[in-house]
Amino acid sequence: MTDLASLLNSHSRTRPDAPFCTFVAKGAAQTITFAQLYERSAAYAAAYRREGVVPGDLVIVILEHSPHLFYSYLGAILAGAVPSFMPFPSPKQRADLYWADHAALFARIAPRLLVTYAANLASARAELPGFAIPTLVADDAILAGGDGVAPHAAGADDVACLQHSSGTTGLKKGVMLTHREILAEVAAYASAIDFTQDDVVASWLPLYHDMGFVAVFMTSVVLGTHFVALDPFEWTMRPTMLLDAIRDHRATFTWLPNFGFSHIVNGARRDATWDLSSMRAFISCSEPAKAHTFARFAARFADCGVTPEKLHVCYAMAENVFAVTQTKLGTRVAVAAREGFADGVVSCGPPVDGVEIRIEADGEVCIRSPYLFDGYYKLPEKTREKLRDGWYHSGDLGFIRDGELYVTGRMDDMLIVAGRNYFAHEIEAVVNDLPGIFPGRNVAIGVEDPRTDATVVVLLAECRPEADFAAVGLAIKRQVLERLGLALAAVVPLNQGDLIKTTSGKISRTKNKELYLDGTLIRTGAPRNGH
Amino acid sequence: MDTDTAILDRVASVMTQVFNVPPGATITRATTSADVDGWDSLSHSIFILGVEDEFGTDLPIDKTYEMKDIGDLVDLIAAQRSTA
Repeated sequence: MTDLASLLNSHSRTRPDAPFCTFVAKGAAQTITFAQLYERSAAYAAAYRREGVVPGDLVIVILEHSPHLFYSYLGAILAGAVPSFMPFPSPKQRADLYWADHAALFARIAPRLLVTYAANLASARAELPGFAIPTLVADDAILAGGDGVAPHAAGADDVACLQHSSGTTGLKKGVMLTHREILAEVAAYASAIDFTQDDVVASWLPLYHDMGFVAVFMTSVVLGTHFVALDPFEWTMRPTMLLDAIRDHRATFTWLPNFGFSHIVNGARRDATWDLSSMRAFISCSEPAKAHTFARFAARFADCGVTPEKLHVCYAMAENVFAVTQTKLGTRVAVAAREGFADGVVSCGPPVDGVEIRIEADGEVCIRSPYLFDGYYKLPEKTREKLRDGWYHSGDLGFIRDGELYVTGRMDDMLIVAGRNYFAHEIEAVVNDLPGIFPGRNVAIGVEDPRTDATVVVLLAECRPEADFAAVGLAIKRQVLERLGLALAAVVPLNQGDLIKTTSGKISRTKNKELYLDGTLIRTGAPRNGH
Repeated sequence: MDTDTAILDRVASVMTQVFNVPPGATITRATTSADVDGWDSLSHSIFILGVEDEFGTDLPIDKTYEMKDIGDLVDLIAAQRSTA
């Protein structure tokens, strides 16, 4: 079989009662079998046909934690449409800005249908009077009407879905992935970690991100395996839910960003224990793995069955469907000494089968593989910039040692905050016009927070002499939260001229970060205004 | 049973352990996450766990996320303790 719809159909007939997903929400769990998954997805496919969706049409899915995520997405695959998950608005984002940003994206990518929940549709209509995209509200009524819809027979090289990159919504890039690429990556990655139908994945990851989308959701669709799905929001508030799920379902794999390891340790009450002996690997992905984070996690859960040999690293990106490299299971992850890294650099492992890695003279990690993406949807120039002669230019910096990849940073100003990507220049741009600061004289920097092991963002801003520094700081925090959904860790109000420029006259993020970290900027900024 | 002021004092004590609250800063019912450096969604959940340990009670997840200021949290704790 060479397409996702045929595979899904096959699983529903050959192993109808096997669990696809145990879906956990608000303390209750429900199991969805492959037969149920197919039937309910086919019901969505029928609903799409009634809406006039034809093969190749783009269907955007914006849903909160609900099994309708699976049905609506796979229904689009069965109908031959091209689905794409996108994040729903957080309660702290401003609805008007969220929708204005989406309007810009939708004008470019022209979705045929938006699948969302009733409250979100009401919000779209309230905020965007001209909102004209046909919409389907995801509810159980749709599941009643699926009889007789035959799965669309897609070609292996047809685009199966779009994976949207993070960053400001209006600038999101839709990574085009074909059926062949998804199937090939899942097979190669399963081989790298010796993943079989006996394995069970426990996950709190959102599906709009490649880690949750491919390592969890698509893997189960392709291989017919079982995963436990937790609500990302509930997990953030109760991080040990993941350990409950592992214990309760004898899970064998989980994927999470580095901060997730620390968040679980911080959220575990002192005397609490879990039987985690079923686990084959906890895999760190989507932000740089840190040796001290692994050490802390292994020590805290040593009496629960966690050993250092069970902590692993995957280097992945949507442009390669998912995994590029993976550390070898059963062995301890290597850490290389490197100048400027007090903790060393944690290995991301050797390339997954079929993947080639080349390090450019400037240190950029470039990738070629049989399942590399076909390009960004309706962004030919961006595609040409990043995909040259069959090599994807990742923007990551790294080196190879003993056949394993080590990633050391970024070529651009991207900041990875709790697994999400933000660009410093975008953060700076959204505060630039606020009263009380000098436009173009602020910098966003990423700083390690030792409490959470996450990168947090601090904004350094030169303020007008007459401004109330405390009020400006609050306004900046609110603006970034409402516009980008990002909580700044701190705003450092500075006096005019405090920020250091490069020789070319630009404000230097690197130099000013150094001054901030050694305390120099705080000393020059705060006292003169008296705050 | 604690008064609102006593609850606020105990909440403030947990806050100083979790966040970078400057010495001498006053925490009131009107204090919000924007007023306190380092208060993001990760540290919020650690803060709530600390509050639950302090008061020996479990707070409803959705309510703790929806709280707009410290006053809402104090009210939530008071309500939880009155029904416990």
